[in-house]
Amino acid sequence: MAERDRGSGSAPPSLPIVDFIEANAEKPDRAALILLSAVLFFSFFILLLPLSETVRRAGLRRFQLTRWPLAAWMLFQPTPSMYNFDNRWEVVRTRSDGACPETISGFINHHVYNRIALFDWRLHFRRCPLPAWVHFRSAYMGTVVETTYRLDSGPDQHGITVTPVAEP
Amino acid sequence: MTWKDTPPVTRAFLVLTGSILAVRLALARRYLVATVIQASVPLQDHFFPWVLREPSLLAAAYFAPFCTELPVLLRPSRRRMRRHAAMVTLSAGILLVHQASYFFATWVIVFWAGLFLVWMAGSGLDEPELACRKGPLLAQTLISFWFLGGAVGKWTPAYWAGEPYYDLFFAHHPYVAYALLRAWVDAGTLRSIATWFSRSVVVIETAMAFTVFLPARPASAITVLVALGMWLFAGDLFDVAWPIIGTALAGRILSGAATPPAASA
Repeated sequence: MAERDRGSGSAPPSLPIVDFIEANAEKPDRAALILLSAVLFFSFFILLLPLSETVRRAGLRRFQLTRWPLAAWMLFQPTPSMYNFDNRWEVVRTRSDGACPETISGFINHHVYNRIALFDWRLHFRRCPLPAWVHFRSAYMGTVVETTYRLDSGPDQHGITVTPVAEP
Repeated sequence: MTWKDTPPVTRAFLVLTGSILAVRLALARRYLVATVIQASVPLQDHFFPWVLREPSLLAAAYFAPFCTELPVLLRPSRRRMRRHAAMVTLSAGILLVHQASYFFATWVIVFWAGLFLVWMAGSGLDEPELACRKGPLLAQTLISFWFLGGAVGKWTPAYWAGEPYYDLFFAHHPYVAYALLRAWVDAGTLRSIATWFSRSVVVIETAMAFTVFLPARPASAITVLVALGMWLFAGDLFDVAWPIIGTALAGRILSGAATPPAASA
């Protein structure tokens, strides 16, 4: 198969977007178009984040697992959102115990509920006195979403039970 | 058959598959531990139904692709490629919604990379010459998309000031690069480095969202450099960096084998 000149000779390198359009005109590729459409669908919502208060609020709530129906949340899970938003958390306990300080606070990278669900944090909470209250605060361009969860020992002292604390 | 004799679509497929397999191998112990803890310290919450809390589902979704990964790498027949592409995508799709793994960016990248594998194993093998002219755009679109998702969410005063990165990495993270920085520079300088690092990340990620408009060769080279940079500055980001590199290389392999329309007509 002949190598196409892509910047190594005098001809200017061709652009993949032009190549794609030409090749697709020769023979339409439904699978490629579906893949591109899916990317455009999710990109549309990403680009709406700075523009729409509704989308911002939904994006912040997606991280805190609040007010999203499970099916809709699952549909949007392929959205890339690495290290998105200004996410902070605070843990408050009624008593401290050795490696379990009365309060913990700091930043979270993304999907803030990972501080409860991630296995090493889960072990931390299990080993420390319960109940504990975990407060998440996510902010983006003036929109703020806050959620508090109460963590208790699970049934028969097995595991952890997480309950959203109603907002005042 | 040597690597050079292997058709370009198959080579691109194998490179991307290899990058995902490397991640799966590197994280295997971690997911074994996660499965054990998911079983021994269950988390009952308001959101995840029982099936998405099942430790067996977590283990199956993580480990099952090994069954198709190794055979396809050893002998990449059309059937094996199709089966493996479907398996990678399905596995990542499950891990994206499981209580113990939904928050890892790994599975976002692998899910989309899996769809790219599905395309290569389908349309790519059916029309290999056209695939070499279509594939580079698909690879670059995915790369732009991933960086776009990272960039837009970082357009915040906190990231411009470097606060999250300072707190998450520079101030406490045990990774050698940050430990050395803490040992070498004073607190004020460390804070300043964190600010400029964070600003660089915001600017570079935003710029990377435009790689879809670049020629294939520079787009691939830049992507590999940026992904290596991610891995260098945060060692545990290999799980994201390697599949990004695999996608960039797959795009480059396809582009290098493309024939101009006149030659292929």
